Amino acid sequence: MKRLVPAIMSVGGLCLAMPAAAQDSAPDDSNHSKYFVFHQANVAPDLALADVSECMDYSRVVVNMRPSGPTFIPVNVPAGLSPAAAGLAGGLGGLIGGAIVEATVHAPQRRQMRRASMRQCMAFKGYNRFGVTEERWEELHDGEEREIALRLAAIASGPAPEGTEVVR
Amino acid sequence: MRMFLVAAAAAMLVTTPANAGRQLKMRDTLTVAPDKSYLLFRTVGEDPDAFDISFLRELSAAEQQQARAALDEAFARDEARRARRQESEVAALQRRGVNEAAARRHVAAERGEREPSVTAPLLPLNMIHGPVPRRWEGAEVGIRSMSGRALDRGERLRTYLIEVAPGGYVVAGIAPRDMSGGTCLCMGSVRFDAPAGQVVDLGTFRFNGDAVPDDRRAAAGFLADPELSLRPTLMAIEPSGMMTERPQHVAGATVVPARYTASGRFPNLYGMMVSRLAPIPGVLAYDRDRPFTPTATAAGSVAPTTITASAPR
Repeated sequence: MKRLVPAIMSVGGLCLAMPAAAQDSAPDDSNHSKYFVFHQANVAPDLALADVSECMDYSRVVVNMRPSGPTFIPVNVPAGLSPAAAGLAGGLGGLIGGAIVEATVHAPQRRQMRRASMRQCMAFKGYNRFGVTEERWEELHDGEEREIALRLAAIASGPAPEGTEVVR
Repeated sequence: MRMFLVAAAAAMLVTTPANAGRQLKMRDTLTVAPDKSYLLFRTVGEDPDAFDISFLRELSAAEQQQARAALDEAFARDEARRARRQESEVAALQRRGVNEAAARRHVAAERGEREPSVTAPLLPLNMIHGPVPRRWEGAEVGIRSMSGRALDRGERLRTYLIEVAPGGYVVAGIAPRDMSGGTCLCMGSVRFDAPAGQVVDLGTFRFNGDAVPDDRRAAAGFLADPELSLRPTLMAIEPSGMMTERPQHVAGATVVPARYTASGRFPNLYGMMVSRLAPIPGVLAYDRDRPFTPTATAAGSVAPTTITASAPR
């Protein structure tokens, strides 16, 4: 994963990446639960980039669950068991990470959870959400994470998108 | 806060689950062991058997040292393996006519992309957020209650009592029993001390609509989507007070109310949905996205407390 360090990003870079505000509005598109951008008035570009980057980190939800990922030890498990054995000994409820979750949570759910985490994280930071078209969303999310973060941060700290503001 | 991160992340690297707790059931009798502590809490929700609570234990200085040694060892092993693999790939490219400098640049770039080093797990120890580790060496993470194993149960209320290792704990997350993905309280939670030989009353944990009424969610910064209503995305803690009813199991024990303070943010180590604990008056508040414990000022307002930070390694 690419670490996004706000300090190395220049304001000039943000300006180059900043799209026209009008382009980000999509009043006719009703699928705003999936396709949206964030905005907050009077937020500095470097802060917006730090916020977007942190929320992208935070919202790597179940898609990244690893079989070797961290495991919670359920209660009532004797000391000395390996985490995997402890998880199994505790039943399904004994494992948080791992293949079981990966298999149980289907891809659409994972995407929904990822979107929700991103929205929740940005909402805690005071950003509002504006709907965009699917095409525009795809365009903004094309490329590497650093590029994506730059684009989203430029919008988040730029002029308020014209169009549909949706509930957080 | 960073001190917590060191401890919490290091907690995942202890090889034996020494702090795996014992959860008491209704018919059990509590015999207080002098070297154990006991967490007493209640949950309230529409589906009270649906959600487990997870806690992270902060490690002692000795445990942190042990975890650090394990990390250093893992790092050294991983680096050696990576170096061997890299040399092998450079040699393969050279055999295909690529000059050594170009081959090394190519292999280094490729390797960095697809296989982050176990230096990654070292870094998050001192970071507020960042990449989660690719691999864990050993793995004790914390304590997770089992929601079906209640000490006492009412219609929408469950009471739990768990025997744990004494120490500092953080309320880390909520995990549904159906394994459909839990919620990490990564963006703000509370810590408390669990003293040896005592029962700590953590109060009552409330979920979703019982935590924050639907019509107040948006104002509190929480998402209000109906599609999320079945997930445990929202949690509030009502600390125990003078009037809090306690089960007869703890009648002969020393019971102390938990003294909560803000624990700060921590990485989404479990790859779950992220959220934060609802504010607790006088205990947990948020300055935008920064959790803090309010302290009274002369003007009657509140000011953020300083969160102790350990120096980055």
